Amino acid sequence: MSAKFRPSDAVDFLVIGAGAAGGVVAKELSAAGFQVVVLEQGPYLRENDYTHDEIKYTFQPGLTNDPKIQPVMYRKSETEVARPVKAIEYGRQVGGGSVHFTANYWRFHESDFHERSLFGQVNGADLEDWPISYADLEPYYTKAEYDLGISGLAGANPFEGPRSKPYPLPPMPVKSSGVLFERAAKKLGLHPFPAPVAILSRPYQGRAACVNCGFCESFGCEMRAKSSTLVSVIPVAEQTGRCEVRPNSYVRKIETDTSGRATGAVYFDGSRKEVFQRAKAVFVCANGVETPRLLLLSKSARFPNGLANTSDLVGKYLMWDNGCDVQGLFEHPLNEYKGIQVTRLIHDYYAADPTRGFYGGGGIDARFDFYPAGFALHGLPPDAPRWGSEFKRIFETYFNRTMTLLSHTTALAQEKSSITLDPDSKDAWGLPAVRITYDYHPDDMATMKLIIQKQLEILDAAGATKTWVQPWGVADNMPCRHLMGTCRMGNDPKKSVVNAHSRTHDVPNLFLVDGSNFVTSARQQPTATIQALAYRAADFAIEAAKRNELR
Amino acid sequence: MRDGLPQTHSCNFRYGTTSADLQPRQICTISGMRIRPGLACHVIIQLTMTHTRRDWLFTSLAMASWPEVLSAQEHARGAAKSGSSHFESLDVASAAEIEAIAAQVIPSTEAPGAREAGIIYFIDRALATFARDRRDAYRAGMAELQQKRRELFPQSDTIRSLTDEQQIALIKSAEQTEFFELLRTHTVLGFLGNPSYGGNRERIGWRQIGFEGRMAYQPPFGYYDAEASAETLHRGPNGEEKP
Repeated sequence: MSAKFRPSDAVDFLVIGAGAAGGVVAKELSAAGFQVVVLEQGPYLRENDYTHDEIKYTFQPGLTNDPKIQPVMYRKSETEVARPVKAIEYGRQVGGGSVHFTANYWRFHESDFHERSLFGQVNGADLEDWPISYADLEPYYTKAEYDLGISGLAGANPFEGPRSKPYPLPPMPVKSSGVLFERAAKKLGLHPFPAPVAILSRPYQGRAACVNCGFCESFGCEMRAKSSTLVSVIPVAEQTGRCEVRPNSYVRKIETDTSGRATGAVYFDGSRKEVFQRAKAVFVCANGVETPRLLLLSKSARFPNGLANTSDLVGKYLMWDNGCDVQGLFEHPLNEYKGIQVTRLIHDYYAADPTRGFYGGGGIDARFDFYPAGFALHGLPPDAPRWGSEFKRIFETYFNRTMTLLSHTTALAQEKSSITLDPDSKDAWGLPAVRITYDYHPDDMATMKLIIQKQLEILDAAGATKTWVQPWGVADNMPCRHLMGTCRMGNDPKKSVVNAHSRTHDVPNLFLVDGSNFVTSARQQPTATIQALAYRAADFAIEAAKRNELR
Repeated sequence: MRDGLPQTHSCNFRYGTTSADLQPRQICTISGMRIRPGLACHVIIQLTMTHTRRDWLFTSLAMASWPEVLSAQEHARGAAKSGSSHFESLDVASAAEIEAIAAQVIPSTEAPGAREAGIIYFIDRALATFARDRRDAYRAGMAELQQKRRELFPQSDTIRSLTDEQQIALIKSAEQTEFFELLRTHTVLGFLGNPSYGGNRERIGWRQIGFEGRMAYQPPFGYYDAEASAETLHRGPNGEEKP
């Protein structure tokens, strides 16, 4: 039974954002005996609300931020005036991005936490080591995999760090792209392995297994087989009787007292009435864009530069969702629309190799990346006609015979890449809109170029009769969905926003946990690490609360 | 398939391994509705037999909760509407002009094209709903195209009365414009998007590309995984997954 608290009750914890991280935190804290209120700006949808409607979910913001009410301003550099572009995209409902994500669930490698030490500094970037190691996070990766329900094959990825337990569920059935990819990669001496995914290959914890409908990426799962926080941990949190999830609650400010401690947050409820929810401690899990934005909005006399921002790094080091679609045509039908998006991938080009002359690396997966209309509009070879009988012939004959390889590549942290408040544009609640300043580091471009060559090699080895590369290296071409780096984790309060346990250096009862904590981008696919960090931060907060540090 | 959904559908249900799953869980593979556990098995079997969607809805009234039924009815109503033939936002004359362009974007060849898929009804409804803010773009874009038509073919009265060659020449003169890109996008969405929006009639577009549009599939999915099922891709001697 879901709890019900009054705004005037100072609950133990206020969690802002009910997504991949917030759902985990809410469950951990409430299961440990604490009272929790979760504020979510989006609605509370259920599996009955979702459909296989490509127009609604991929051509309209069905489950994501809607720029009509929340404009996103984008500029390439500080010298430009920002213009409205949906440059970033995030899940906007209870469950957040864990509802509509493709469900790839990669652990970071051991090297990801120490790349500055391994590789050295990169010109024009701020590459740093994380304050934690893979070993610190490993128990929490395992906990996440078991709590949420992850399918995969332990030991199949030779580059993965040691794991304390195998996956709780076996891999999903391989599809034709997985077979072609695996054959080709092996021929090239690479190490393909079954994709770890937050999708149930078998019934698990009261939820049924996936039925291979094929609508994972951008869609909510109608079968509850995608292991979103909406269907896994949030119901557990509510069943404790100590957790209340409030949808349609849009936070505008975190309040602090004269001693500089967080006292709760002011939000607009569904009828745009302002409510102040009191709390003894606050977790912000609003994603790598909305978390820094909320801190910047939470200015006060004591925190004139924004809350928890004495480092002046809140909003800085935004890292982009880099990668490229490279496609190949095959003789026989693959019917890629059947089954989950990704069944095989490689991490052979993951490590940053100094002999390349630039920093970076990437993973490559074989995936269904274009639904029917999206394929005809964005998935054809760039030299294909865009209308007429030849256009029609190509999209009709290519749809089921195309294999897409998507790469996931590094984005370097650069101080100039940032989230700030736009000076002019406002959202529908009258708050300053978010302004994104982003351009690629030259090494990010070099990495993408290198990995595209590897993608083409694999497609050739797989027997593609034709290959093509989709446009890449244009930041505002499509929205960035992995929002990382904007409240960086570190031991030095001058060079980071949160400590190694996601607690802000400046405000002892304020935690931030989501992609904003990331010091490096790894090779994208951030959800497993976001959730492992959330479990770890919750553990720390529970201990701190028991020591009476959070009042 | 008159309402854009298959006449025959099966309801998938599975038995789980945990105690919570000991009761059958029925899931309608079309609406994704979860039906309450504890349903007698003959009902389940009946559900897997051939039914029209409407029959199924009536059958389900007895066992699904009201919100589920209402949402399914709404869904069915939306699907039924896709057969409508009146316009909500366009007048008949401009609809015919727009359709003539759409029919060159996805022409009717030996296989059906935009015209047969009912693209114009999709565009009409789009301009009344999610693309309401593009009405002016259509008005201005079509006016500009008519102007081009008069310049290129001064004897002509309408776009639809031009020959194929003339229509193609007209589009070539405008293919770089924002309006053409909008019309092209809408034509493709109407051909390959969900039939509930009024286009993709009888699932014409989906059938052309080989998209079955079902709610569940079983492996093998395509040619290569079927071919490989006998191979030893990550499988041990008993077919078990192994590194």
